Amino acid sequence: MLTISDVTKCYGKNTAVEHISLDLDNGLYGLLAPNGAGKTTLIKMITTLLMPTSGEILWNGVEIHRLGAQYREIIGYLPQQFGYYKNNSPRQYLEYLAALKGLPTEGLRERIEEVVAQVGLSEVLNTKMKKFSGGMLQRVGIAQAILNDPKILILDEPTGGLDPKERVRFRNIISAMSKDRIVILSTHIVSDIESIANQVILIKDRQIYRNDTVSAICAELNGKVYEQSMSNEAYEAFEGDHFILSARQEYDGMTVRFFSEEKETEGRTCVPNLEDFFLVTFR
Amino acid sequence: MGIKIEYPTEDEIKVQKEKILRVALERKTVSRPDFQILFYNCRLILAVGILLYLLLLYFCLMIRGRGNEGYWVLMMYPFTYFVIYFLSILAEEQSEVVELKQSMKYSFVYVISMRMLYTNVMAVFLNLIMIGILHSALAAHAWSLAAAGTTADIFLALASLTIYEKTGSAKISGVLFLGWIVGCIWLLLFGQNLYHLLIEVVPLAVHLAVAAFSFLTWFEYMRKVEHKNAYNF
Amino acid sequence: MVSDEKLIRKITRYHDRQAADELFERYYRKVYAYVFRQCGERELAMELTQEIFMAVFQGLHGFDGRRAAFRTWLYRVAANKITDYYRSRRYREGLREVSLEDSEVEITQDENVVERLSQKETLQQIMEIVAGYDLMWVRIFQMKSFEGKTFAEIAVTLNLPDNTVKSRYYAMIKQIRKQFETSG
Repeated sequence: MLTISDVTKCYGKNTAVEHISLDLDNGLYGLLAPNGAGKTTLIKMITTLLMPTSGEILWNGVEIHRLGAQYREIIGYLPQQFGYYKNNSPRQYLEYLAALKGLPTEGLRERIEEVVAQVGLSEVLNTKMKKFSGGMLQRVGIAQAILNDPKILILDEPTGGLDPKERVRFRNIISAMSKDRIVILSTHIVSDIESIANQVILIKDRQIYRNDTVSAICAELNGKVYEQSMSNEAYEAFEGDHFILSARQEYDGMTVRFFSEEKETEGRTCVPNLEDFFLVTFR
Repeated sequence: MGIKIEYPTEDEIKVQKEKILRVALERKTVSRPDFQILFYNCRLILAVGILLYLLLLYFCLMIRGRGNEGYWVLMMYPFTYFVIYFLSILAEEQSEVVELKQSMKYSFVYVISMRMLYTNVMAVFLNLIMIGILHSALAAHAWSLAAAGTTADIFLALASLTIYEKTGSAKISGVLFLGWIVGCIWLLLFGQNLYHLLIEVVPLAVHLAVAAFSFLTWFEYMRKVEHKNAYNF
Repeated sequence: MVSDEKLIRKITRYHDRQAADELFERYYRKVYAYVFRQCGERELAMELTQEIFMAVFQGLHGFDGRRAAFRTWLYRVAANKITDYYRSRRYREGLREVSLEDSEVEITQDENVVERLSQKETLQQIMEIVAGYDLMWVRIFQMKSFEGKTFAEIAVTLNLPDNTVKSRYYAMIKQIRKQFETSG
């Protein structure tokens, strides 16, 4: 179990995050917040890149900095910006990182082929990465993160550059992996985690705002999310008075989804989703 | 206080003890990434390093017989190290791999430390060639100078690695390096007496002792870094 | 008597088996008792104690005697492992996080609870409830109930005001009593 105990990180006078306490056991945790809210700071502390100003992070009861290399051995990390050597092929890159991860050479070849197949890059296993698209590079990044079969998998904004099909594939891989390890997925894209997260951790104002299942969080907005159809002209006026969550152009007008504390007579209530909660929280 | 304790039997405790002691006393295998991994993607850097070193040698040939050779040699002692150091870190930062590598079992700081260890061992020998070229000019003080230069080189190297580990910035080490150059130039221009005292008056034995001490410090530093990174449990 | 730190040095530098043996014997039964008091089951206590000693002995190399005494660290790891265990249980049973209503500082009687801590079934139930709290709260409970520490001592160790320690302890007691009253 990964225990984050009352962790605060300050840079001089600025506080990035404060009083963060979390207990993470096997499962998929979605770390959700707008950009700059402190997600990456927290992630960097979990991956030992930063030290907390106060508080501690424990893995199975022992502080991660005390564990040192032992701890890093069991984590897999995909940073928001990760680099590579342009003249490497995925195979070379992964072989190199495998050495840095202390993986034995025995069975390595097969393991590399296995993870590359999982992210759908088998065909370009030996192609130089400078020819890769953003999505392909991202998938190499995911491959290296899972290469050492980590007990804690930490992914920081991992779906940038992935097309819809690739996103689905990604969600499937991650979801399957979360059955027997801790997966932390940090993102500001709600759809990445809505369908697969066991628990969603929302960070607001540098602290943990919510730490609960998707359904429990969404249930808070029960009866406050409405949907209504109207003409384009009517929408212009409507927009000014209401908290719009989304507006879809239809053949004969607009279908508008909005949030309202008061009871609305015109629209019909609908089941709130995580995106709604996100928009309402971080208005 | 509280519940009545049911202890395990002596035999059961013995079994537990065996298991635990076996783990605790296991010969810790040290596994290190090999040379190829430490110097991965470094061909260009090493080429530049060698080129620069050759330039240093050329410079030595040029100044032969013109006096004050000692000051220049002293100044050039950490050059090879720092060139490789800065280029290495720059290259890695350009490739944006630092963050990722920091989270690996063999962390980025460890890899750089090991790389610079090998580099500096090489540099110590390469620098002796400089001393060799200017041997006649340096005469009796050649070895003292070599020892002093090596000491300075090692301490500067340790400082640069510690600074990087604590701050994540190589720029501060740049200030250190610049400071060294400026210091040596100052010695040449204004501190001739000090130089005379340090290099020529202080006996060779002292210089060798201090150099040996610097090696020990380096050794201790590497041991600590290896502790955090290379032990298998 | 040889100090803990000296024994550790002998173990880490010279692989001294006798030193390791002595360190083990010095603490095994005490730690076992500490664990048993918090779970009430022999097998479980042995398993957890095993894990604790494994973690500690494996981590001896990284142990920095300047920051904390070995004994302190050992008990910290023990306390954490016990908490981990109960939290995993909560997690598996889907128990929700306990709400930290900052109730009035009611210095209520904790006799009932203390009494229940001496029976295995209720002990585990209580520990499960306590494990739902923030780590700092759990430590307060552990120190008060199983380490015989006074509120003042706990406050010093955790760097908290006396009142905070007291109010948190009694908030947990209140919650525990409520659980027993409703479930009977």
